[in-house]
Amino acid sequence: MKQILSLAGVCVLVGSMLCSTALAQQAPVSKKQETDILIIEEDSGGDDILIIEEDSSGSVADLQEEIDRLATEIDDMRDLFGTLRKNVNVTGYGETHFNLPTDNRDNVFDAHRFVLGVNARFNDWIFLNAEIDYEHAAQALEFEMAYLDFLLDPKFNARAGTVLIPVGFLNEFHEPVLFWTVERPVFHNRVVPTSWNGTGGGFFGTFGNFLGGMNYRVYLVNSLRSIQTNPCDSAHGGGGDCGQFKGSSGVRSGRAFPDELVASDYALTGRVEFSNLFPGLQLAGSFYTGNTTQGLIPQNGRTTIIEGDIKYRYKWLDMNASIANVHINNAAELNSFAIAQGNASGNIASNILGWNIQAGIHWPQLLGKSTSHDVVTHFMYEFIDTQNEMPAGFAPNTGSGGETDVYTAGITWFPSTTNVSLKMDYTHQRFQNGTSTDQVNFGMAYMFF
Amino acid sequence: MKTETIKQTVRYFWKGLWVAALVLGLMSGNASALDVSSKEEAVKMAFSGADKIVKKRIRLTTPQRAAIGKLSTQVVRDKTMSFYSGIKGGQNMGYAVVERVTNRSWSISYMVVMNADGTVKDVEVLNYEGARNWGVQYESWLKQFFGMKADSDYRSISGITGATISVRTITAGVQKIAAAYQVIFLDKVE
Repeated sequence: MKQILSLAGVCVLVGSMLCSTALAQQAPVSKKQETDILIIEEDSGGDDILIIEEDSSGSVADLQEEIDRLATEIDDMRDLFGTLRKNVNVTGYGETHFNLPTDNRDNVFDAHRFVLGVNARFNDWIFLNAEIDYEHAAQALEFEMAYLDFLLDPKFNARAGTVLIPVGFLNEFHEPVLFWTVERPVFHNRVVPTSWNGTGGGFFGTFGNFLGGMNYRVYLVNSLRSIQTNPCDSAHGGGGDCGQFKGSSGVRSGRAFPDELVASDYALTGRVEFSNLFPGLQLAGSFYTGNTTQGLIPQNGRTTIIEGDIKYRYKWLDMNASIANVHINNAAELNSFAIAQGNASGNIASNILGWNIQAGIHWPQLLGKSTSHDVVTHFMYEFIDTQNEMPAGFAPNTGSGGETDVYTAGITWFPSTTNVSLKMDYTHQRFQNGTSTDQVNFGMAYMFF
Repeated sequence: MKTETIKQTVRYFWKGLWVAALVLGLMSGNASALDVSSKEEAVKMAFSGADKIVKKRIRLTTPQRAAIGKLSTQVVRDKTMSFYSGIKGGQNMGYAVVERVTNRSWSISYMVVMNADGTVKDVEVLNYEGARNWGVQYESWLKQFFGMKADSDYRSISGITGATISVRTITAGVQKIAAAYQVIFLDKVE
């Protein structure tokens, strides 16, 4: 079958060559110059414009060689069924870290993430985007996302399935070659809990020429879980029935994965981005709001996140900043419930605040070097306060929660491709109670598609 | 409990609709990707009013490929490149190159129109499959290329969060085409 198809392909090619040769013979002789340039004149059809092809091809032997090459290339592209178009593609990314704390904690290697993505096309308007994360040397499995896009119009499209929550610039686009630090910024861990997904659906689109380009997304998804009757350390597993809010990590442990997840509370979330407000400037805002007690107590524990971020690049100077405020209603009741269950010390905050600012220098560009390599040195300051405001009667835990200042400086090399990066940085974290930690990190990161 | 859940779902649904309506109300964009079904149509649009359009299919020599690669800081694998030029009253209106490349998983097609002096006159996205973000197909972003030459610094092209790969794909494409024009037609490398 395959051979017949390839034969047919060659026949068509040869046929068209013969036709073009015949056409060439009809072409005005005046165009035929001293070189053996083949001139084809043909009516472009419809309009009166003539399309003239000038082909610097050589002898018949050259043509034969090209036909053979094309036939082979076409055959190489066919799948088992003889189909030329590829409707399923594999993508992915990964990062491995080497963390060296300067205190007496152990140095560790961590194959932090190896992620396989599958993109599938069902027709020209329905697409699947899915990702499975193999984290920490494949010891933790995460169903990162799997959603269908129904493309209707650039301005208005629908999306359904497990989606990434559109809060902050990192959560949806978290490939490790897209940020410079070895670990994700602390802001994107303890304030915005990346990677964070929700199951449900919504709408998205682009208004290309509105204020230099605007994108939006708005989804209705399952909400976070602030309290549990049977809590555990992480939000993974057990129908999402073990996650809960914490003083140190805010809402992070309240993320719930859709494995027969109880859906008593829903959240509305969205993001608006102005991607080119003026050259090099990107401005965006996101929100998330939803009840979180899942019917366990009469109070709703409504949690609302308001986030804003900005990115700016002027030639070799590249910077970004983010700010987010998380407000948790009924924090006192959440703490009372948690304590009554005997599973928490009662330090869920009523308000969490965090912001960061990072600046980097692209050295080859600064030095005027024309190269495919990029070397970036960067510095970031982060202010994280996961216990910014406590409900009356509950005290903050100032060791790991509370106000934290994080300073990170480092260097990242993109070796002749933007899809691979080698990173090194130094992080200093200072907690509210005066203690601090220092850590040197090395990392390699890649993305493929 | 159940009724409350349903009530809440309905409330969120209305809120969602309200937001969607607000966003739709903001609809003010005009042109998106060019609505053309073939390269030829795109090229005719680029040279509207031309008496004729000549397609020059050029088989790149090894020195040409090397020179284009060096100028555009990328590896050039093209064996041939086709340049369309519009002719009006005997005058060359410029050159256009149409390319279709794989961008992440799906293809993206674009046309780069060059002035005779080697500056970029126009870039149009002709077709864009799939979606993570379409920002790159609008003139609000594409106009950054207008006036750039082979030796301009393409690292100054601004990014779009969520369309990082599309931005890189198109930027590399425009840079390669500008370099190819420089090498073939201006520097006349053989």
